[in-house]
Amino acid sequence: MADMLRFRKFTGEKLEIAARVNDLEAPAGEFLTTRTVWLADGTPDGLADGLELRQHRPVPGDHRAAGYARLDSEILAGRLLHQVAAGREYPPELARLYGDEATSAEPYALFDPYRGESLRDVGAYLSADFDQFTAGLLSGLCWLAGAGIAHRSISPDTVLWDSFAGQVQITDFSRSAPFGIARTPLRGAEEWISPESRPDSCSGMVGPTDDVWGAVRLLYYVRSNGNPLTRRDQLADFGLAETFSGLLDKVIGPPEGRPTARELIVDGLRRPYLLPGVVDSRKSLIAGREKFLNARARKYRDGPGPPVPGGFWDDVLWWPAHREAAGPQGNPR
Amino acid sequence: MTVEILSLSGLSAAEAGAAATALLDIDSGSGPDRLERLLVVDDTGRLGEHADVYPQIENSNRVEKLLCVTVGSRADGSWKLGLPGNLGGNQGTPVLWVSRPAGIDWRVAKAAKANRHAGVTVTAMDRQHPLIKLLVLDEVFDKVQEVMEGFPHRAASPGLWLAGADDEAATFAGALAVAIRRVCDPGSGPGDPFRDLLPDRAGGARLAENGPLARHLGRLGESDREVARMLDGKGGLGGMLRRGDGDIPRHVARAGGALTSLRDLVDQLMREAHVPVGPAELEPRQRSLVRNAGLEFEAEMVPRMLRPTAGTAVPAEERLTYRALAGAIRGGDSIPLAGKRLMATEQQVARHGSDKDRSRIAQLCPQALIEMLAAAPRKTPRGDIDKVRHELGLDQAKAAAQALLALIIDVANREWSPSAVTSAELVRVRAALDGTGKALAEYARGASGARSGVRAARAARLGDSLLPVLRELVLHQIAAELAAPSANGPEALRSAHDRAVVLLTSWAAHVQAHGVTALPPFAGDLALVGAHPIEEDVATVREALLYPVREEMWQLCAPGDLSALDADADVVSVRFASRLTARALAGLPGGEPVWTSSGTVAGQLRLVQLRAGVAESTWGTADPAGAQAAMEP
Repeated sequence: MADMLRFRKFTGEKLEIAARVNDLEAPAGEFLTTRTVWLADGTPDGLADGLELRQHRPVPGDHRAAGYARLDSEILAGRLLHQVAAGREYPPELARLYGDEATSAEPYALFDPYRGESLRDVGAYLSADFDQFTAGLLSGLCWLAGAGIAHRSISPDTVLWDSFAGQVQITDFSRSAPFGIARTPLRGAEEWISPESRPDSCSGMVGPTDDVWGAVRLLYYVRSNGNPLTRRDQLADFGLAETFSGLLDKVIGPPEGRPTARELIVDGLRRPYLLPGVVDSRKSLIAGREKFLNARARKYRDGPGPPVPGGFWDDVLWWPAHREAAGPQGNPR
Repeated sequence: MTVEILSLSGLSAAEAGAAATALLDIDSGSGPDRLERLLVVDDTGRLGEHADVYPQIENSNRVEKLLCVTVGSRADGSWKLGLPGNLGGNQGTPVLWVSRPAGIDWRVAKAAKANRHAGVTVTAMDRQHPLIKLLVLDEVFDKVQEVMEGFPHRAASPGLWLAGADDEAATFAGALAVAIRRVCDPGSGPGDPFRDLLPDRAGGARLAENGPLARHLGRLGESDREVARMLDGKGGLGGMLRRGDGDIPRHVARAGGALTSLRDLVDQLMREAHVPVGPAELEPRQRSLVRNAGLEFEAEMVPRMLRPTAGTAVPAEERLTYRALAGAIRGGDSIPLAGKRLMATEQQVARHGSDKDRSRIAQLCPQALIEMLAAAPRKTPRGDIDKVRHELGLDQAKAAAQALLALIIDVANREWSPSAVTSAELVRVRAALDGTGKALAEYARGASGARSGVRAARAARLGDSLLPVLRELVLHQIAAELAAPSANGPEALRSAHDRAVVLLTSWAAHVQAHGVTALPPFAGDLALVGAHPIEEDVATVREALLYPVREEMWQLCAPGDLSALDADADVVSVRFASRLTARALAGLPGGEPVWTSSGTVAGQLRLVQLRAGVAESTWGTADPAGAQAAMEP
């Protein structure tokens, strides 16, 4: 079925383009669905052979408002990652936002097709690729932290492994949140949700150590051929504790004492930190996002409301000051 | 069997008349001497054209019992099934109307819909068709004729429910699902590693007889023996020693020197032949170092002529990994249990680099011991020989040497052996097992939707028979992975899944072509134990005979012709089984079946009457006007 898609490409360019849509939809994280679209490329059979993308949309029904919020998070994370990667090759460790239509009553985000298979499916067979997996996962987290974002749902379902390229890909930013805002409770399997984000113990503010909790569990999951970490002392298995120079013990503790992904690379693995410095563009982001939220709140009622004046956006700037380091991950010490 | 078949299908009126004449003519000798039972097979569309043949048969006074099977749907648009005058009706020859030889699966009910009939697709009504194979049995022929003479219009649609033959594909699928559940059962085994794959058994490392390591050990032993001999020679009553035995310290120092050389060589080996964790292997320089230090591996000791030549590989079935898994799986390990054991094995074969073990050298051979040996006292201590040897450090030196050698052999088996099983190989094999298990589970899930119910018992029995074949399929998958290794675990998982789907499909096709007990090519020369008595399986026969007559069966009717069947009328079933099973089936509810004297087929022939007015017997020849007259207005 051909359709016209109007959206803002990640470059900022506004496009209106014919697309063929696959009506089969699948869940994409919580409260979102995904389907495949093919953008026409101008050739006669362009709809068949055009650019393939994933279109994420809020679910219909009772959870639609929550779906809007999830989609917002995806779009925000996608845009921030593009900003961080501007002028460089987009990091393959992260799913890439192609474009979005954020303000209409039928909002959506377009992502490049995901690469690889979920660790739920193949995580048990990667022990030979463990080093590469570790480096990829931690690099991905560093990029996210560089964008001032915590993924908040690192798990075998959201992290993929591309066995052809030998590469990690972190997907599904629907629960992601900028550093410094108050944590919202997350539902799901307890083994993949950090204590500070669980409904019964949710507290504090999102920060650059939030994802490390899940990431280290994921490292154990892969290293142990698909077994979840159930006890702290298991971190000593497979030489993991030694590999990370004893830093893993702190990962199980409260977020304030955890190492960041960058610290796991530099102080744990004792490898050089290779990601470039990140320009802090959050002030312009805050202004832009405020504008966007106001515009959308005017357009339809069942979406999230406008931002609270003087609210949490100020907190985004709080985190760098809170940490003793020069900045959240991106600025090398 | 006395049933003769006269096939008029596809014949013109003249050809049909000639065929009948050839059969009936008593003078020419072309036909049989006696025609007790005649089964005429005709095309529904040509019944009118062949109308003269039926009186010819009747008037020949040669045929005792006549039955007609007419094949094909009614004329386009016609509601009636036009029959020659002496077929059907309340006095004519009984007619079985097969409007679709391939049939459908159908339950006798007005609202019941037609389902595709699983199994071999039958297109022709020839001697191989199950209905014809059944009607040529005298006892069945007679019973059908007897039953149908009680029908008001002597016309019916036949349905079949055969024990072990009618739905072979479905039975196979159900039985295979049973076997799959066994093979994929998580199990509760201990999950021990495969002992034969662990480095100490698979590595094959040993000391070369005259290599430096063995020589150092030999020197140490020599010095030790020399000291022992001297102590023994100098020993007095009670093992007391005298003073002034000057050569002993020299021999002790020599033993110390040998131990030092041994220790240093072990250390050098572990340092310089270190290969970091990963896919890297020993460099040629490192391999020379290992060899020159006096370590050899069984795999390298195989005579050159017996080693695989360049470009050839050891057959997968001869590989250690295959042999270990073959033993386990044929011995009853399920896929998940074998996977668990592989995982345990992986952890023990994982290389971590010889460098990591160097710290143990100082523990096994402390510097203090070396120094103690080097500084042996000029005065030999007093006491019995054992005590003196101990005080001189010789016992400890021997123990240290043995421990160092055990360490280097252990390291060699794990880190350097060309025959050691690698964890990467075990990961791929485990992934191949899991990929196979995934495909099997998918198949079983699909099969569980197939017809089951009363067939469950048979599926379970046949499933037991298929289990060894299924295990061979699993081993075939392992061999395939070992013969052409995948690039990584996920690829092995995918490849094995896809291969297993192909193997299952081809196995099912093989069974369709050759029967449920036919062994697929991957089973090799495996003998299928316990599957042969299926046809005579009394329990199976009993199930088939007791199957409810109105339930879903293979009805030889086209979906479009179902409206012509009278679902409200009594449905009669002719139950039949081999006389060989009569004793075992004695007392079967519902009365005695027809016992057949030949063949092993058993089951039910269901006769569904046609609705009143559908079958219309008309006297006369092929007459378009007559045919039209039979059409509904």
